[in-house]
Amino acid sequence: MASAPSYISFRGVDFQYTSQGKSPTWILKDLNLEIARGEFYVLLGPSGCGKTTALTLLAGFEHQAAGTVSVDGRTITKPGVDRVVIFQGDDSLYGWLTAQENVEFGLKMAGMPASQRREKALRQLEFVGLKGQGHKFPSQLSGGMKQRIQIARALVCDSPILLMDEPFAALDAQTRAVLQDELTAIQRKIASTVLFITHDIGEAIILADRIGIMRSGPASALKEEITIDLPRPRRRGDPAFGALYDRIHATLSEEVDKVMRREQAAA
Amino acid sequence: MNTRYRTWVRGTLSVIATLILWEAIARLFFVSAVLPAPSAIIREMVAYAATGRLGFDVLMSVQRVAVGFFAGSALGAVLGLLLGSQTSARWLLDPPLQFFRFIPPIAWLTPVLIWFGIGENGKYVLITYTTTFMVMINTYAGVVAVQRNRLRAARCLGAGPLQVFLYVIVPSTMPFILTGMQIGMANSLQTVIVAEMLAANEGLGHLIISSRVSLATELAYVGIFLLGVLGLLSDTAFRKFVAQFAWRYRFN
Repeated sequence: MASAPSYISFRGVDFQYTSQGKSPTWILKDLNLEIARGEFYVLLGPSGCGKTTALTLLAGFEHQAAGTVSVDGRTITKPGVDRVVIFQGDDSLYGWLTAQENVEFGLKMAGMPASQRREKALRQLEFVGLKGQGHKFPSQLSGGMKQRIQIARALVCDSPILLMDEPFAALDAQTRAVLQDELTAIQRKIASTVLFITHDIGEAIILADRIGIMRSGPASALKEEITIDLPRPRRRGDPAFGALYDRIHATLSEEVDKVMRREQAAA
Repeated sequence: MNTRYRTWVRGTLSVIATLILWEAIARLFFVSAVLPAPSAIIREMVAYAATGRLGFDVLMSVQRVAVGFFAGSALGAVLGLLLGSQTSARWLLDPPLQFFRFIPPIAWLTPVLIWFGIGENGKYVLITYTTTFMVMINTYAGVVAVQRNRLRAARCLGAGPLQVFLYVIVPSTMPFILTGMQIGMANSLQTVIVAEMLAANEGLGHLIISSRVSLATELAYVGIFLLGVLGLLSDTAFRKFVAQFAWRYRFN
């Protein structure tokens, strides 16, 4: 369906999960997804639908049973600095490193000299609104600030793709709204391609160029794609926003109902 | 500062009160061979120290613990890190570890004496084993507990397997290694005392056990008291060391 040349693509992707002592479950079955370069793509779906699994496959942490996941024509086999992940929880930050040292982590792994690293990290911290906070440890910073460190840590590596796994889900509503606006501004500025996972419809509409709604699991895949062409910055009070919200909500409700009916039948 | 000063004063008062009570009870109700008074113990300690034997006993015990503690900590940390990060080794090593956990190091005294003799080597081996085991088990648990997202973040930030190990697994495990060392230190003191009681001619353990033969109960208390002091000093030194050189790992 995507007319723009595809940059990230999932083609016929199946993923199976086996937990100990149980028969394997299909998480994803025949997932097809195309994302254009520079696009902000949001995957939206009921919990347990496999949206995080899709991100995990693109990150290269797990491997699909069938199908291909590729970036710019190259099949994904392992994690890489071209696809840095921003995780939901702050447990991916290194508690024994200062904010600045956390941001420098990727550069250090690449062997960049310390002085150059420091300079880049300081500039990046300023870019995400953490100027003067670099010497603090993650435990001394608020949830929103920690997610900014994660964003800076990814951006400093010049990662062309950002994989964001419900990065704002654990934040309070105000902080979340601020970070959503900032992320929009950042993405406009650096034109990276983003795959963003969320179950929050409002967040999806605020951020996305295109939203992919997933079916409820198991054996999930894409149910519907919606292009969002509201002008930015987007406001929740906008009537067009409300109309989109209702439409997506109706689509998602069908999926949530399916899950509930299935659970009732099983009980 | 004020509260710290107050804590210090209260601590000192508590010690003094305990000593006075002890002194009174000992003098009023007991003969010295059964419960010696603190004053008698101090007198005995000074007299014994004057012979030069006391310093030698303390030195021997400290030396044995120090050698075993440092060797065991290093060995335990390395083994724990390797075992923990080699997932393939877990199924092989977990059952024996679970079994050996319940055997106190001193139970190995007989085989150790047979293999390494009655000299210093046997004691070094026993205390090294004590510390190694504690540090290894804690380190191993620490490696297993490293959050998956930490490892994943490092991998997508470009870290290779060795870099993940050095820059994520080792620092993440630091608090566990340090806890293992602290427990290992306490256990080493126990091990050295029992080892010296059973197979040595010097050291605090030997002092305590030999005073029984001569019914010099005060000397046993001298040994017990110094043991407490040693434990307290080593623990304080360890905490100071951690606060000075490993403080960032408390932010884990």
